[in-house]
Amino acid sequence: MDSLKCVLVEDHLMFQDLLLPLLQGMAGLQVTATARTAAEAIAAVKSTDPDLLILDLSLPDQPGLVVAEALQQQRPEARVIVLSGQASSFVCPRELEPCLYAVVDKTCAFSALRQEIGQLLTLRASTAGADPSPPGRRTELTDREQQVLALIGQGCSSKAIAQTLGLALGTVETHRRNLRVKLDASGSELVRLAVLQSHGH
Amino acid sequence: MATEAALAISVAVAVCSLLWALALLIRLRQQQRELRRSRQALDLQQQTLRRKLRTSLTAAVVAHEINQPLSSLSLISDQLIGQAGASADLAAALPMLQVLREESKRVVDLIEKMRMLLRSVESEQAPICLAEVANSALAYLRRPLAAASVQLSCRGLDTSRALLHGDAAQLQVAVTNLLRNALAALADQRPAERRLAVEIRELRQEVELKVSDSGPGLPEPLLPSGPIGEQPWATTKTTGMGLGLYLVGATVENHRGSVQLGRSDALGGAEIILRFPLLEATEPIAPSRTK
Repeated sequence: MDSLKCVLVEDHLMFQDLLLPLLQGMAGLQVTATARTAAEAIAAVKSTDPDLLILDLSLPDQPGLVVAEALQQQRPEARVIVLSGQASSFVCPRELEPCLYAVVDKTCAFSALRQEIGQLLTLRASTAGADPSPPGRRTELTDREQQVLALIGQGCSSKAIAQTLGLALGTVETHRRNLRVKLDASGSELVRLAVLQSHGH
Repeated sequence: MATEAALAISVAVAVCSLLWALALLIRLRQQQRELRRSRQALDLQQQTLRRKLRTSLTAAVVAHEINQPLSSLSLISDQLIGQAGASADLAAALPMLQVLREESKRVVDLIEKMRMLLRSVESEQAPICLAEVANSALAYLRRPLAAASVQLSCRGLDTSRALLHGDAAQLQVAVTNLLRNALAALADQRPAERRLAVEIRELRQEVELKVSDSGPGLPEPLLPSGPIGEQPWATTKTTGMGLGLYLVGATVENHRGSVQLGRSDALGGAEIILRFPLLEATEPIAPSRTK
């Protein structure tokens, strides 16, 4: 597999100089360009078409996020690691959430960047480069799954749920299976969670 | 005789009018003096506020500026520690390098606390999507959450578009602290039992963020809910959980919101609900951006 092409955007030259050997020392990663301003970074994105952008948010000419927007337009599957001195107060706009891979504090750049990029490389290898999403055990239930969960909590059988919601029995079973996977629960645990949740609302 | 009486009455009336005018004049002067005193007090208050704001902004700028060389120091010490295995000189200096790294980390933590406290005072208000704030806080804490094998379930975070008028960075710091406290509460549980739920709901006039966990729950004295000022946990303690809760309290107060503390029926641990007034549909909406 080709190396992961990366553009490093950091306006402080000394910090950039410190980061560069760290990134260049990572197997499977190729730093194709460095930039100190948003304008330079956008030009580098256009010319080198990177898979990864390591992005400082505070740039002298424009906010760093304009570079992420440019990358997302050009290459929606590319990823961004925000590297900021104000990481704890960075709010990512909804439209850029899909391309945000990680948010890293500059003060722990060494360990966090190695960890994040290492994980990204592993993930890319396992998904053959297709749309690597950050690992984590996060789940978001759909409205239909919420309805099914609520009815399970009320003690309804799959058949009763199918009748109530006007669905096929197989569809309800699929929802139950997805709920078990998403909530990492066995059949009985799912019922327990559903009952507890129905009492909680 | 009648003329004299009429004259006497006229004089009396004139004297009375004069006295009344005099009294009025004295009253007016008094009121003017009071008004001047109030104005002076107000000016003094404004000057103090301006001074405090200047100090706060200066401190925030200083904190930001310190962060850059501090980041370089941390990075250099990390790199040298990493290379200590390949160099006898660096290996000999390893204990000192570790002290350098630890001391840098202490300053980093102090600066972070200082910035969070400053953030709870200064405010840049704009229309904010609460779900974006919650998603960003979760993205920021993804590494520690994954390291602790926390099972995270979210509801409404991908779909809610509810806006409130607020300070994005201040809200973000508050939500991050809520999540950090929840993460700390899960530390003593077995990894398989560590559950965290984050939910956003849009109510009629408010938007609600609920954070619940499977930890031991909040201590009893913290449980009664009510206006933020009456909360027993509205503490100014600046360490551990205290700072986080103080920041949450200050943020909620600054955004005219409310807090409800309780026990989660679904997960068994603590449940904290923040509610904020929804942005009125008539107010202009601009895309949210934080540097």
